[in-house]
Order: sequence, then structure tokens, then C-alpha cells
Amino acid sequence: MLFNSMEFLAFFPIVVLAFFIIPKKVRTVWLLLASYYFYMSWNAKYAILIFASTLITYLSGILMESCPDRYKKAVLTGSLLSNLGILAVFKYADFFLSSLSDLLNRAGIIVAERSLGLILPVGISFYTFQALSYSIDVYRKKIPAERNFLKYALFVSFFPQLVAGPIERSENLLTQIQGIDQKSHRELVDIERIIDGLLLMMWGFMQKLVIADRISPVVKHIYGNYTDCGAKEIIIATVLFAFQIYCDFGGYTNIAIGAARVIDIRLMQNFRQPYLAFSVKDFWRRWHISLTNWFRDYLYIPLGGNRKGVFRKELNTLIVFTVSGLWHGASWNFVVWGFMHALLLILNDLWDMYKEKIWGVKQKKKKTIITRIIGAAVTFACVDLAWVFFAAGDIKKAVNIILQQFTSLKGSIIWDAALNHQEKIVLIAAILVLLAVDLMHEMNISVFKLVKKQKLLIRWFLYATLIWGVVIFGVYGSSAGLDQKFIYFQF
Amino acid sequence: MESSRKDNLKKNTGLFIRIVGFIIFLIIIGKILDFCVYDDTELYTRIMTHELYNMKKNIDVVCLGSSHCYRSLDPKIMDKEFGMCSFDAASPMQELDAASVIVRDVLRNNDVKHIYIELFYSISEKVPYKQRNELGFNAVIFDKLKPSLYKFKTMLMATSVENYPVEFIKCRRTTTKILDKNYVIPLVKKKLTKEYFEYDPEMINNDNEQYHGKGFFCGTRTRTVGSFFYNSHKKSISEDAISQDWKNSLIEIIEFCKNKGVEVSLYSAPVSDFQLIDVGNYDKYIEYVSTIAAKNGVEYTDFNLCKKEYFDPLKNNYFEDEDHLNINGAEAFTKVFCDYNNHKIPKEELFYSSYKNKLSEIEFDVLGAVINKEKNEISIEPVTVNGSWDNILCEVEIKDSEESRKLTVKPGEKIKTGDGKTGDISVNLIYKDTEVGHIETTY
Repeated sequence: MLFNSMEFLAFFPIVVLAFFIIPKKVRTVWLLLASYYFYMSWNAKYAILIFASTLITYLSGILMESCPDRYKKAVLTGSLLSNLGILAVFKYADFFLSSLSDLLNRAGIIVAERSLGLILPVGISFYTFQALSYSIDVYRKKIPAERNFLKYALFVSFFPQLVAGPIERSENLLTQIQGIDQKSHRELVDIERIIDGLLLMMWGFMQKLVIADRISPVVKHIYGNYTDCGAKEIIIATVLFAFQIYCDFGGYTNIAIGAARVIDIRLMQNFRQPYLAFSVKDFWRRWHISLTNWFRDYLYIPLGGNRKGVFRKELNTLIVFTVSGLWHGASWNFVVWGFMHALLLILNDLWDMYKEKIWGVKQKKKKTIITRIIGAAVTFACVDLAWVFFAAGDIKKAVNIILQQFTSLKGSIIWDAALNHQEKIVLIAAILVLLAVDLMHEMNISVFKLVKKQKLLIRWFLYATLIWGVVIFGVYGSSAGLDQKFIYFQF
Repeated sequence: MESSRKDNLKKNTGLFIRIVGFIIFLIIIGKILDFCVYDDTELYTRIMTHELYNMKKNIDVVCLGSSHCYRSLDPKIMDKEFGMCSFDAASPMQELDAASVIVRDVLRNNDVKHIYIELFYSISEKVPYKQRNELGFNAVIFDKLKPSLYKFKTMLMATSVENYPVEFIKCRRTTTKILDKNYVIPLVKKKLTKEYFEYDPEMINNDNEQYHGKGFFCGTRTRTVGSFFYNSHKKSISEDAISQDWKNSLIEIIEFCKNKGVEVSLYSAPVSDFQLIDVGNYDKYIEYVSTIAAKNGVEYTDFNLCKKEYFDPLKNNYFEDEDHLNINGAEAFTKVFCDYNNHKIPKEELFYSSYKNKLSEIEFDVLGAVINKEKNEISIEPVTVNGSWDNILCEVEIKDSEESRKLTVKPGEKIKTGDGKTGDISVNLIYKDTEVGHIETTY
């Protein structure tokens, strides 16, 4: 079930309305059933995997708390290996097998390519990491083990963030789930909070349906015919892809956070105006924040972080971002994408470290507008170049596309074929609105709070504009003709 | 305690009013958007349904069906012949799920005595309702019928889920046209007129077609024998292709009407023999529908089986195109229709026993041709009654942007047109050195 589907349009109000009126003690069960129903609408049999992951991490949490300290590490290792094992088999087995056979063939040992032919379970990368973070936090005694299996199962499978994040921590989400049964009906049915949640969902739908899905055919068309394209078209497609992936993933996240907000669960922020980042380092404090934090807390810091000298720090960065690339997809182009970001971060670090030493330039804590604009432009260009590996699907194609950007003098084709004049106006207007909102948030002006301060009719007009904007200009339903899944579902 | 309860009540009431107020506000904005982008200024169903819902007299006789109904039955003649008030509540390519909604609407507001349901063979072969992947012609009638729970339920079953946004939200259908001022401004100007608000039929009339009241909308053009044409052959009737949904809807309407004490009759309006001969096995359709009618205790009459003495549309040039009667044809047909239903003419006297029998009594004639285009070739395939292509030649003139050429070819002979080219084609059908037909079309 996609968020942008008729099924979800029926599912969500039913779940929410029932949640508001059922007795307190069945709220957890209700949300758990709804979450499993949500997940099983994709593929019912893969619910076994999420259940297995839940059971393993639940039991290992209790075991770690009750067993002697000398066995805790073994229990944790068991939990990590079994969960990562499931992830490895379903996500990476075919990748490793095909890479191995490719390598052997190149070495002159001819082997037939084998594959397990397993379908990637939706959201496996997300819920696996979420469950693992719980195991590790229990091991580190950051949180006590959850004894209530139903509450823990809901923590792993909570439907708004189940299939594409944010990757929540138990201190945040599990704590709130534990308190779900205590809230009074009056607390739950807080109209202002519900409006906030619904508004955020609509904003997410705007990002996904009006921007991301409108860009998708343009990028597909140009990247699919890149050999016939001029540099201008390829650059346009590459820039548009940056907005497509931001609005697709950011839109999904906003819908997830908004949906959770409606039922009084606060999920963490996952994006913070990423294209206003003034450096690549800053970009990773703004993009997919939950994943960045996960890798920082559970891989980078255990590897030593920045505490073991410059060389080790950069090596750790390289390892973390290469693994991050692999997390995004079982394909070498994602590994290259992660590797590129690692290099950019290392360069960023080296530049910061030696700026003062070489040129005597002092690090300013507060950046000027000019430096921020230049920083943002350069960062966007670097990040966007890396996105080509994401969008192209394979390394060779990505390299050719990048070269074409810098070398092709061919005449223009065809982004007209994918979007007519009015569609372009809608797209450009929507992107400008998005950038304006992001800019305001960057200046700590909350657009939603600003809207809520307006007079009733003005508020209603703004809400109606957003709703009707999505209804009319959203790419969905029979007019879409696209594969409208969220990009990050493939991870 | 009492005051806090009162405060809560006040708060909840205020909240409820705000929610309802916002929903109404949203609907008003939606209606404004519909007004600006949804073009119904030339919609026949807009005029028809307005008249249907505002009839001062009780409607005794209702005719449902496709354009074959509202273009062939004149309610004024029916009123005179039946002595009752009639109405054509048909619509373009009306399918039976839409018809079932109209039946309920009409019966809710009128004491209807008799319903005639027109059944055009082509509509029986439409895709199952839930597999409809386009909005289709049902929209033009659903848009104009009054809201009701039954209509809502029917609309939910009338198409696939992906189509719900365009089915229920009119302004969604034209999406980015809302930004096209060359579309929106003229449309709004056209709607902000007295004619639009007063449902003036002049808005849908033109030089060739007129709205005559009570749903009757008909044309004045004439298609003579020899000038009928299609750009591709019709499919022959196959029972497997007949939709189960169509059959279920038909039976449902019959049962509903019977329960309300309303008499139901099924019929097929005349279409050109050019079309039915090209179909090839039209009797199969007659047999299929006759079986359903017999099983459900209603009469089915196919007026394509009319004997020439009573109704000869080809000789009298009663058709305006391959499908529809013109105004003269409608007058003549309505009279025959009423005479039959008033039992003035016995069935055996009026009708042939089968379409095959009808054709066997017609002399050889060249009715027209199928101008068949495949890739970069055209072939002219005459449609004849009781004859072959022997002694037929086709004088063809082809004009495209680059050249114009004349040639004489045999039926079925391929004429090259060039890759992707379009243009005008004019065909004289010659039978034994006499011109028997003339066709002009594009390719």
C-alpha cells in the first residue's frame, strides 16, 4: 500500500478514527494490527521476516538484561548476525553472486551466473536497522529491554515509518509507544495537533505528487536517451533529479511524520533543508538524518570515530560512506555514490583542517551570506554530480552521462516531450515554493506556524490552495502513467 | 463541573462548526474550479437532465439507451401516439449501469408506466466495468444526474480505483489547462451568459443538429446509399465478448422495474445495413438478447428487421451517418415504433424472422466501403448486399501535403501512401460503369 493510493486514503482515516475511540488498553494492538496489515498489503508472506526480526531482537534484549555480563556480547552478536544475515540474503545475495561470477569470469574462470531470485522485501533495510539500534542500545544499557512484546513489535513495525523511515531510536519511539495506553481520549483528540499532522501530510503529498512524480518522466526520458541529448538537457535532468529524490524521499518522510503526528506520535526530523547546506559535511547533517546518525552511533564511533588521528578518521569516513552506499542498493553504482561522498567529506575535512595553516584564513563561526550562497552552490553541484550514479542505474552509464554533460554540443531535444508548457510552469512554481519554504525554515521561520497565526479565512484559503493544488496538479491515478512508487522503497 | 461540561460542549460545537465550515469552503473552491475548467457548455446531457428534472407533467414513458435512442425516437410523436408523456433519457454511448441510475431517478419523481431500453450491439461488448481504464461516456451522464447513494455506489463500481479522482473530481480532468488563459477565459465568458444559466438548447444546437425537447436531439444531414464508410472493419459478434456486467445490469433494471410495477421493453434501433453487413453475423446478437428477454419475461424487438414496406431507411435516405437516423428517419421510425407498440401492426407482418432473411430479399446494392489503412497502404473494400466485388472498380483521388494523384483500382488492391503520411481521399465506387457511391474522408 503506497501513501499515494486510494487504499491508503481509506486505510488511514479508519485506523485513526478507530484509534481515537477504542479503549486505551487495545490501542497498541490496534496499531500493531494496522501496521502489519499495511505491510502485508505489499506481500503478505514477507511479514514473516519482519516478525522474525522483531522476535530475535526482542528476545535478545531480554536475554542481555538477564544474562551475566560476559555473555551479553555473544547475545548481541547473535542478534546482529541473524538480522544482518536476513538482510544479506534477501538484499545482497544476488549482488554478491553476480559480482563473484563476474570477477571469476574476468580472471578466466568461466562460471555460470547464479541467482537466488529473491524479491527484496519492502523496508527491510529500514526496520532491520531500527531493530538493531534497539539491540545495541540495550547492550549499551542506554535503555532497558522492553518486556511487552506487543509494544516492541509495534516499535519495529509502526506503519508510518515502516517502509522508508525515519529510522527511529527506541528512546524516542518506543518510549512514546509505551505511553500510548495512558493518554486520555481528550489528549488524543487535540484538533490543533491533528491539523498540524494533516497539513504536514499534505505538504508531503505536494512534494511527492506535484514535484517528484512530475520530474520522473523527464529524467527517465533524458537519461534513457542521453546519447541523443545535449549538455543542456542532461544538466537539466540531473538538477531535476536532485529535486525528484529530495521531494520523493522528503515527501514520504513528511507524510510519515504527519501521519504519526495525527495519532500523537512524534517522529524525528529526517531532512533539514538539505540543498541549503554550505558544505558536504553540512549536507549530511541535513539529509536522511536518521541514517546518518545511525551510522555515526553504530559504526563510525565504534570504529574509533575521530579519536584515533586524522588518517584513521578519514578511513572510518570512507568505510562508513561506502557501507552507506551499499545500504542504499545492492549495486556497484550505489557503492561508487557512497565512495564519492566519502571523498568529498575527506576533502572537506582536509580543507577545513589546512585552510588556516596554508592560507592563514581563520575559521569563522558565523558565515556571511555570500559564503553561504557560494558554499550552497558548490555543495549542490558536488552532491548533484554524485546523484548521477544514483539515477543512472549503472556505473558505465553514469560516467557516460557525466562526460556528456561536459562535452556534448548536440542540439536540444526533448524535455518538451515529457512536459508541456503548463506542466513546466507547475513544476517550476512548485519548486520555487519548496525553496521559499526551505529558506524560511532555514531562517527559523516556521511556515506552518506563520500560516496558523493568520485570520480564519486566510488560513482556510491557504489550506484549500494546498489541498486543491495537490488534487489538481498531483500526478496520480489514471492520468499518471508512471510507476509511482517512492524511490527509497527499493532500499 | 456543570460549567466545565458546558465549556466542553461549547468547545466541541465550535470545533464541529469549524470542521463543517472548512469542508463547505473546500467544496465551494472546488465548484469554482469546476466552473473555470470543466467545459459542459455544449453537453447534450446538461440540457436533457435539466429538462428531465424540471418536467411539470408526469413522465409516463421513458426511453433509455445510447444516441441511437435519443436520435431516433421523437417524444412528441410518441406523446400523440401513446396518449402519454414520453421522454428520451438517453445519453451518448450510455451503458446499462448509468441507465440503472437514471431509472431510479426517474421513478423516484414520476409515476412511470413503461420503460423502453435501447440495446445497441456495440455497447454489449464493452469491457467489464471495473476494467474501464478511461473515464468514458458514462461521465457525461453521471456528472449531470442528481447525487444519491445509489449513484455513488454505481460510480464506485463503474471504473477502476485509479480512475476515481477523474470520475469524482471534474476539475481534475483538465489538470494543467487551468493555467491556460486561452482556455479558461473564453470558457468562463461562455458560462457567464444568460443562455448557459437558463439551459438554452441553442448552446448545443448547430447547423446540422438540433435539440427538439424532451431529450430528442437529431441531425438533418443525409448519408445516401453508396456513401457509407468506415476506416476499419467492424468486429463480428461473439458471445464471449458480450460483457457479463452488461447482462447483469440489464437483468437488474428489468427486475427493479417489475418490482415497481413498471413495464419494460427492450429494443434495438435501426442502424445502417452497411454496418450490420460488415459485422457479418448480426443474427447472433438478436438471438442472444432474445434469450435474455425471454428468460426475464420481457419483449425484445429489433427494428433492423423491419420490412421495407413499413420502414425503408436506405431507400428514403433516412440515415445521417452509419449509425444514426436523421430527423426524417426519426419521424418515420417513431411512427412505426408507436404503431408496433400500440399493436397496430402484428409482429409477423412488420418484421423478418432474421437479419439473414431480410438481406436475402434485398437486391444487390453497393452501400459504401471500408477505407482500410495499414502502415503505409490503403485499400478500398466495398460493402455490398448480396453480391461480390465483381464488376466494381474504385476511382480514387489521394491528396497529401506533397502530391495529388488519381488512380483506378480494384477493391482490396493496396495503394501506397508513404510512411506516416496523412491526407484526403476521395473514392467513386463504380459498378458496371455506373457510379453507385461517393466517399470523401481523410487517412
